[in-house]
Amino acid sequence: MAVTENEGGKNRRKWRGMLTIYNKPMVYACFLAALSSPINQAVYADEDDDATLEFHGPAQRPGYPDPFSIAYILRKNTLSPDTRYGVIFPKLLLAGAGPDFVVDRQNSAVLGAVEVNESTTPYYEHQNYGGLDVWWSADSAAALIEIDKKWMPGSLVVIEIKNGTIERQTDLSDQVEKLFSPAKAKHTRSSETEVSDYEVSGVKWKLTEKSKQLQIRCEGETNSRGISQYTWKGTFAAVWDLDKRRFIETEVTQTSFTRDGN
Amino acid sequence: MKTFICVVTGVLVSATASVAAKDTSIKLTTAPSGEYAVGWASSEHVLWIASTKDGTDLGDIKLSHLADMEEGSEFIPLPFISPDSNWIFVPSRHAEVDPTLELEALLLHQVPSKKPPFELVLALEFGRHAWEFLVKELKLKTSELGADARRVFSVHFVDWSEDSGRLLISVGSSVVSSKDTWLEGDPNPFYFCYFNTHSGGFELTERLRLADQVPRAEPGEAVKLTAVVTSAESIGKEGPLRSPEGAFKEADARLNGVYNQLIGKLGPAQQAMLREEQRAWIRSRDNEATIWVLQTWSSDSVADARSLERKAAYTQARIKDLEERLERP
Repeated sequence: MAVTENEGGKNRRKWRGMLTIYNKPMVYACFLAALSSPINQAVYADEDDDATLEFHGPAQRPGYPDPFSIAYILRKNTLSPDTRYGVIFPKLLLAGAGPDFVVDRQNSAVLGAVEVNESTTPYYEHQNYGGLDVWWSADSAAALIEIDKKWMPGSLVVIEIKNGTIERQTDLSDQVEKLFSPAKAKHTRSSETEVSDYEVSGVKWKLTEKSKQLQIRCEGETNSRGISQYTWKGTFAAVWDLDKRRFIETEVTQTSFTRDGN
Repeated sequence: MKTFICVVTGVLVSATASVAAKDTSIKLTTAPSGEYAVGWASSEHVLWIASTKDGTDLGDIKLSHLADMEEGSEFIPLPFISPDSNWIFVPSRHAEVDPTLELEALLLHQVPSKKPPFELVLALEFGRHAWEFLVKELKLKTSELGADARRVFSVHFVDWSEDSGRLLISVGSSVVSSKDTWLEGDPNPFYFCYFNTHSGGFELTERLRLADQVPRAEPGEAVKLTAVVTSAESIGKEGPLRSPEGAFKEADARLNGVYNQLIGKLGPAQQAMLREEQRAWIRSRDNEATIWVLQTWSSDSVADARSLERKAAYTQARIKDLEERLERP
């Protein structure tokens, strides 16, 4: 099965890594830049993919600060193709206290929290090993939201939007992990041969009149911590059918198998 | 532990805050009357109050000790303005990056005849006064302070009463040594009390007294929601404490009854539609509750209680809707 690699996704991944390591000064610089701009300005940074946009939440109680305006960030690279929808995440002010949300910019509406699995903390600003990537379908009616934890995506949530509301959310991360793990059966019995580190390297939406499918490609390895003498590296490619609500194609391919780093 | 700075050196100054400060600031909220806005100039560490008509400075609070905070942190004082717009309460806060850095709670009162029109109430001792009141009223046991120890206070905002007569806060206290070692645990448990804007003093009503007397949760144990108050009583409109858990369970049970009656009247196709609609409604209810908790800046047990209250109210509206559909022929 061929999955076209989404270079945008790959580039975002690299940038995210940089943000994790050097995040404080860079994000602080962005924050100061945001503060120094007039409040009504729509886009605070330049055309950079990580530019932040204004978002005001639903009507707030008079005299109270609006948490969505002052404690959440809407990044331009989370917007849907029609720019109506986006994904917001908390600033440090609400770190760990607020979920990530899918929002409707046109109507200042908060459509719903991104439903992450129990082992995943919603992404927030400056989060260690954290990351947030969003891949929208061309019709702006579905998105894959990746929220990272250490070593791998913590949640891979498919959001489906219908009539301006979230119709369904499905977290694919458990299934991807299970399907990617045959590598562990092929080699030694050590738990270190599980695919313990992987990242999403490509995402593509395929829309037809009859179906809506998400093609996803991941790259991973078994020995990222260098504990075992064996290292298996491979790729996982799969197609998720939104109507059938299951993977209709999956393929795990070994790209290398080495011993002691050879 | 890093040096714990709790002495706010801020002073209320007249309309002399630098223009530069305003240039690097964000507006935090606007008074219900629309007359003024409150904002935060992060680079100057100034909480400013300015007229929305012409931008005139109405008073600034310079929180100069916050200049010590670690670069890259995002410390924002949060103002909550009373419905009559005459009072601004800023709860105590810990800086996110450096939790040892604390802003004392501030209460500002608007006195139009003065210039600047806002003045600090109880100076920078609001938290201490509130805690001492609670210790006396509730006969709380507190440990003696050693020579090198000092007491710090946490004051959370809960609600303004509709008549602006009462500010509902929750207050906690802990003890630290001069070497910033915690001697008396976290600033838990919290107790509720009012600041009465008419009398200028702290007070407890029957509702608060009952909540404060519920045995406090042990460390690691969930706070009993019967010990949580989420709404301030207007003066002369005091009422009993109602359990948010009870209200939600009652509404939920009633909704289930009406839903089952309705689904029993429908054919298979309509039943499937109603089930789908109900699933969507539950998502919407939970989303509304999450948004409400954030909009009221609630945390911990107050957040849990407010979430249940919102869900109960949302459920009542759904019951009404389904009952109307049930009555249709």
